[in-house]
Amino acid sequence: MWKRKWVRITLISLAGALILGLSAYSIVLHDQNARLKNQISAVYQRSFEELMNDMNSLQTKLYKLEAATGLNQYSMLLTDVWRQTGDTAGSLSMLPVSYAGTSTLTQFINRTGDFCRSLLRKLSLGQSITQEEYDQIRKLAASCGEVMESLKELYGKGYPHDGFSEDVFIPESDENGTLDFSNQDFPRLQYDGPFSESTENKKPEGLSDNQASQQQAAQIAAQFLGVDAGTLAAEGECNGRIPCWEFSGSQDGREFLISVTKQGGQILWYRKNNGGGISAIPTDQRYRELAQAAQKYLADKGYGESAPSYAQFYNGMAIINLAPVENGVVLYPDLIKVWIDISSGETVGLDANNYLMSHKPRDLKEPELDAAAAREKVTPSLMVSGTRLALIPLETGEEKLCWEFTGKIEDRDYIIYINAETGLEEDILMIQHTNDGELVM
Amino acid sequence: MADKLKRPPAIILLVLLAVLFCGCAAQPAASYKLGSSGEEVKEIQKRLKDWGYYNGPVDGKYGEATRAAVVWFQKKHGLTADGIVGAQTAEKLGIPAPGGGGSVKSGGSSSDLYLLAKLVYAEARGEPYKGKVAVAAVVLNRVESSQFPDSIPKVIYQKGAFTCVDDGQINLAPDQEALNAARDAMNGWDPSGGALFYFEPNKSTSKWIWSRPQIVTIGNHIFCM
Repeated sequence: MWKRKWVRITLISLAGALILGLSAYSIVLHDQNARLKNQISAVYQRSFEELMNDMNSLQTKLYKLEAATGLNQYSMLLTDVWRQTGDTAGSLSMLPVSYAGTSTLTQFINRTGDFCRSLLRKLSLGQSITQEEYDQIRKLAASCGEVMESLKELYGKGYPHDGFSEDVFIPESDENGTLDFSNQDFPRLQYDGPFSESTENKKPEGLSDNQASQQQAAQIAAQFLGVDAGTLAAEGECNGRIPCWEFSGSQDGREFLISVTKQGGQILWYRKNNGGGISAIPTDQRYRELAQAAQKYLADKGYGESAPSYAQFYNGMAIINLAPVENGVVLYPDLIKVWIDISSGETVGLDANNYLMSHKPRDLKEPELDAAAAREKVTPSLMVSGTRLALIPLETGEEKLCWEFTGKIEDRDYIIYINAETGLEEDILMIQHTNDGELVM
Repeated sequence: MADKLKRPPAIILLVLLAVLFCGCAAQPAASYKLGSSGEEVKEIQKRLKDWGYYNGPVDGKYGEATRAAVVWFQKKHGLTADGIVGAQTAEKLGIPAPGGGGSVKSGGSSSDLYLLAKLVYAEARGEPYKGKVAVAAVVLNRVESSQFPDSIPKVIYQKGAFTCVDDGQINLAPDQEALNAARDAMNGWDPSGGALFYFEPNKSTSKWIWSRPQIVTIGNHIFCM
C-alpha cells in the first residue's frame, strides 16, 4: 500500500515538473520566436520605407530635370537617378512580395535608370534632350507619384507590419498579392539600352528562314561531330530565344550533348563530357597552340577566319573566345566560344549563341581615321603593343567600327577602342589576370 | 565494469584526433621532390608536359628537369616556388594530395562565382550536369532581365525567390561539379534557353507557374519564361 502511494506521488510530481519545465521552455521559445519575427519585420519595414523614400526622390529629380538648363545639372541629376534606381530595385527585392504583382514595378524602376543612362550618353556626345524625351521624363515622374500614392496608402494601413501576411514570390494561382502593380500603366520608353524592350526582344539575325525538322537536325548534328546519325538519341526540344532540337550520344568514350536551331539548322552549342578537374593555367606557349587549334577548328567548321581574344581555364579545359575576322576587321559581336581539352588538344565544346544572334552580311566601311590618327586620341601613357580594326557591340545594341589598342599602363593591361569614323573613345576595357585565366572587365 | 568498457574507445578517439591534428600541422611530411619516383611522379610529369611546363621524358623519375618545371608551374600559379609538390601544388595539378591529406578547397574563386555555385549545389545537386548549368543560367538571365534586380547576390537573395535560401541549404559548401556548372553558365552557356523560372512538375501545385510559357525540361525541372 505504502509503496503504491509513493509511486503515485513520485509520478505526479514528475509529471508536474515536466509540465512546468515544458511551459518554461515554451515561454523561452516563444520569446525567441517573437524576437526573430521582430527582427525580420524590421528588415521589411526598413526596405519598405526606403522604397517610399526612393520613389519620392526619383520623382523630385525627374521633375528637376525639366527645370534644368545647364549640362552640369543634367549630368548630376541623371547620374543620381541612374544610381538610385539600382538601390530602389534592391529595396523592393527585400520585401516579401509576389513576382506577379511587382515585376512591372521592378521593370519600371530598372528601365527608368537605364533610360536616364542613355540620356547621359547622348549628352556626353554633345547631343541634347529632345521634346519627346522631356515628355517621357514627365511621364516617368508622374508614374513615380502614382506608385508613391499606392505605397503610402498601404503604409497607412500598417504594411508591411500589422496583420499583413507575407506574399509568396511564386503565387499559387492568379492572385497578385498585397503589393500589386500588375495593372498599373507604366509609360513605354523609347530608347536603346540593356533593359530596353528592343534589347530584351532581340531576334537572332544570323539564321536563314528554312526550318529544320528533328530528323534533319539529327543529320546536321551527326555530320558536325562526325558520328552516325543513327547513334544519336533525341533529347526533345528547347523553345527559348533560339528554338532548338537537342540530341545526345557518345564519341570516343565521351558523352556529348548537342543543340541544333530549328530555324536555319545551325549548331547552337555542343559539349562533350570532360572529367579533368584540373584548374591549372597552361604556359603561354601551350596556350598559343590551343588557340591555334581552336582557330583551325572554326575554319574547318565553316566559320571562316577568327582571332582569339581571351581565355579561361577550368576542369582541365581551356575556354577560348574567338571573334570572326572579315576583311581584317575583328567582329566582336559574333564572338564564338570553343572549349578545348588541355591534355589532348581535342575540341570538346562550342557555343555559337552570339554568332547566331548577331552574324549578318555587314557593309564595313573604310575607316575615316588611320591608325596613327586614332593613336593620337589614346592616352600617351598607354604602352601600345597591338593595333587592329574591330567592330564592337555597344550597350545600345549598335555596332561601331573602332581602332583597337592593346597595351599596358605600368603593369596593368588595357584595351582601348577609338571610333574609326569620329575619333570618339568608345570603350576602355581592363584585363584582370585571375587564377582561372583572363577576365575582361 | 561498464566504465572500463567505455574507456578504451574514448582513448582511441583521442589518439586518432591527436594523430589527425598532428597530421594536419605537419602536412609536408609527405610530398614529391627531387629524388622521388613512381607512378605519381609519372602523372605529375605528364600533366606538366600537357600544360606546357615540361619537355623531358615521362619516366617517373623526379629529376632536375622535373624540379625546374614544378618551379615554373608554381610561379605561374602564385604558389611558393620551392620545386616540391606538396598539397597545394598537387591540388592545382589535379592529382591526389601526397600523403593522403584532405582535399584543399580552392578559395581563389570570385565571390559571385562561389555564390552561384552554392545556389547550384543547393537547388540542383541531384540533377544532370546540363540541368545544373541551366539553374545557374536562370540566375544570370534574371540579372539581365529588367524584371529582376541587377546583380547575382540581389537576385539570389531576392525575398522568396529560391527555397534553398529559406531552408538554409544555400550555406552548404558546393562541390566541384557545382563550381564547374556555375563557371560554364558565367561563360555564357545557357541550356535553359533564356529561362527566368524553373519548377519541379511533380511537386509544384502553383497554377501560376504552370501557366508560364515552357521552354525545356531537363532532369526533374521544367524551365519557363
